[in-house]
Amino acid sequence: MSSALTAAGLGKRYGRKWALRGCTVEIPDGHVVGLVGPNGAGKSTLLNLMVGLLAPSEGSLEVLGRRPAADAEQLGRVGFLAQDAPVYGSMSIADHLRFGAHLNPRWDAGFAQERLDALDLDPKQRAGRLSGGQRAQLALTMALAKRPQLLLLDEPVAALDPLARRDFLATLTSYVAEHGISVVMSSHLLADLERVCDYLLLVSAAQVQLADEVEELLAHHRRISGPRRDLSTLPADQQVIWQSHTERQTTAVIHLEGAIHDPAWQVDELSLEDVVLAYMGGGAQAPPSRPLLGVAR
Amino acid sequence: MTWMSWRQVRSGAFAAFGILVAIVVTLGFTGVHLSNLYADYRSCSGFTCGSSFNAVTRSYHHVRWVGALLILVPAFVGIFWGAPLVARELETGTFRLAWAQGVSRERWLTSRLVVSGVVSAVTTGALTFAFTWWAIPIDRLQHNRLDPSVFAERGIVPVAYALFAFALGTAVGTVLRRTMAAMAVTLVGFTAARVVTQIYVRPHLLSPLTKVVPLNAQLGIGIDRTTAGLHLVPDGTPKLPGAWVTGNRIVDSAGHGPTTAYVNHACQSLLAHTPPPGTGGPGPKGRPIDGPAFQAMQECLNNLSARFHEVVSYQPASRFWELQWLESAIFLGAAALLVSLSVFWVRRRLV
Repeated sequence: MSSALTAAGLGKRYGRKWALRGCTVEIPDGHVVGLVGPNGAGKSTLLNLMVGLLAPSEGSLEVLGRRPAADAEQLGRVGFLAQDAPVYGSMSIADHLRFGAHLNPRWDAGFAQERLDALDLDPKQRAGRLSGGQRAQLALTMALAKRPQLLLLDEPVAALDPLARRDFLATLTSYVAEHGISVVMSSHLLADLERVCDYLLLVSAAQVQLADEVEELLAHHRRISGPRRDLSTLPADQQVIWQSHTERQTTAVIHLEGAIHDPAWQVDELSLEDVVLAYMGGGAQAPPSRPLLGVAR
Repeated sequence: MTWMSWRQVRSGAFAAFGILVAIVVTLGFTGVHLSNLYADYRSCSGFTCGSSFNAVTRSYHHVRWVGALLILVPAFVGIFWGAPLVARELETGTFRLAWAQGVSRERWLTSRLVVSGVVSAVTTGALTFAFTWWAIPIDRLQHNRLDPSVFAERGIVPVAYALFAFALGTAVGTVLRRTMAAMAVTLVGFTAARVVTQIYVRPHLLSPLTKVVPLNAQLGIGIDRTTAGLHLVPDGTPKLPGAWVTGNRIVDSAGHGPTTAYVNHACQSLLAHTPPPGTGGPGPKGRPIDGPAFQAMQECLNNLSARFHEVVSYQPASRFWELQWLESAIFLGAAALLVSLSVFWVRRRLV
C-alpha cells in the first residue's frame, strides 16, 4: 500500500522558532486521519507543508509519494481546505465553481452543482455574504469537486455551530465512504474526530507524539489505578504515559503490548479523548480523587 | 486561469474603460474642431494670424486637464492594480485557496500579471494615443514637446510608466504583504523614479548638443548684485526652436567661468550704479534699470564678451521620439526586473 504522508526529520522554522521539528512519520493511504494537538503545536504548519504552501526548513516530506506542489498534477491530487475557509468575498458562488473548473483538470462540475443544490445555496450569491457554515461548505465543495486523492482540512469545523458542524461532517464522511480517499483533518473537537477518524496523529510542542490507527491506540492504552506504588516496577512492555499520585492511590495511563496480570490494579478502557489528553499531559478524566501531582511524560 | 485573472480585474477594468470612453469621445469631438482651427491658422494671412494662433493654443483649456490626468494614470495603475495583486490575496488568506488549485503558483502569477498588465497598458495607451493626437495642432504651434511637462503626456512613455508602476506595485505588495502599505510605498517610489529620471537621467540619455553664443543682453544674461559685488547669471535661452535646454554656462576659452572679482573689475561703472542689496537704489532685485545704469550694463557686457561666451547644452526637437524610446526602454527594463522579483518572491520566499 502506498502512503499518504511520508515525513523524515521534517522541520519548519519561522525566524528562530521551530514550528515543527524532527517529524518522522508514515501514514498509509486510505485513512481518515485526525490531526490533534494544542494551539500552536504545528498542526497548521504540517498541513500547509503537505499542500506545498510552505516549504520545509529541513528534512523531507512526500505526499502521495511526491514532493508537495511539485507541479500542477500534484496540486490537483491534493484538496485543501484552509483554516477559516478563505473565499473571494466579491465573487459569487458560481464564480468560485467556475474558478475551480478552470484551474483543475479533473473538476467534477456535476458533483459541485449537486452539492450546491443539496445545500440550497444560490449560485448568484456573493461569497462575502455567506455564513461561516455556508462558506466552509463552499470551500469543501471546491476541495472535493477537484477529485483529490488526499483531502487536507485545517480546522474545518472550528467556526461552525453544532448543526453546521454535523452537516459538514456528514458531507465529508459520505464522500469519503463513497470515494475511498485519504483525509487529514485537524481539529480541537476530539469528539468529532472520534466519530469520523480511524487514524490519529498527535502533534505537540512541535513534535509528533503519536501516530497510529485509532483501534490500535484504544487497544494498547489503559488507565490503571490502585494503591500507591512506584511505577518503575511495571513490566517492560508497559510504558507510563501519564501518572498521578495521591497519598494512598496511584493512577496512570499506560501503553501496553500484552495484558495486565497484576490483580492490584483496577484496569479501565480509555476513550480516544482520554488517550489524547494523557499524551498532551492533561491526564485522563475522572480519577477517583483529585491528583496532587501530574507528571507529563 | 486567464478567466480567473480577468474576473479579478474585471470590475476595475470596466470602470476604467468607461471613463476612458468618455474621455476619448470628448477628445474626438474637440480634437476635430481643434484641427479645423489649426487649418484656419495655416491658411491665415496678415493680421488674422494672431487670433487664429490664439484660437488653437488657447482653446479647450479644460480638455488639457486630460494631460494632467495622464501624469496621474500610471500612478493609479500601480496603486490600484499593482499593489493589491498579490498583497490582497496574502492579506485575506485567499492565496491558500488559489495556490491549492491544480495550477502552479508561477502560472497563477504569470497569468495575473499578463492580464492585469495588458489591461493597464491598453487603458494608458489608448488614453495617451488619443491625447497625443488631440494635441497635435497645439504641439505644432507651441513646439515644446521636449518640455518636461509636455514630454510625459505624449507618445509612448506614459505606457512605460504605467507598466513600471504596475510592476512596482506588485513587487512591493508581494514583499510587504500589506495592501495599504504597498499602495503608499508604490506612490512614493513611482513619484521618486519619475522625478529622478526627469532631472538626472533624461538630460543625459543622449549626449546633449552645445551651442556657443556671444554674450548679449538680448539673450537675457542677468547680473546679480550681491554684497560681494556683481555676479553673472545665464538665464536666457538662444533661439533653438523646440529644443530642451539642459544647461547654460558662461565660460572663457579655457572653460573657466568669470569670478566675481573679474566681473567687478570689468563692470566698475555698473557697480557704481548699483548699491549693495539692502541699501536702496535702483538695479537689483529685478527692478528695471535705465539711463546711465543701462549704459553701464551694455559696457559691462561688451567688456565681458571680449573674453567670455555662453555655452548652451540642449536636446534638439528632432530627438523627441529617440528620447521617448530610450526612456520607455529604461522604465520597461526596470518593470521586467520588478516582475522577476515578484516571481522569485512568490516562488521561493512565500513558502
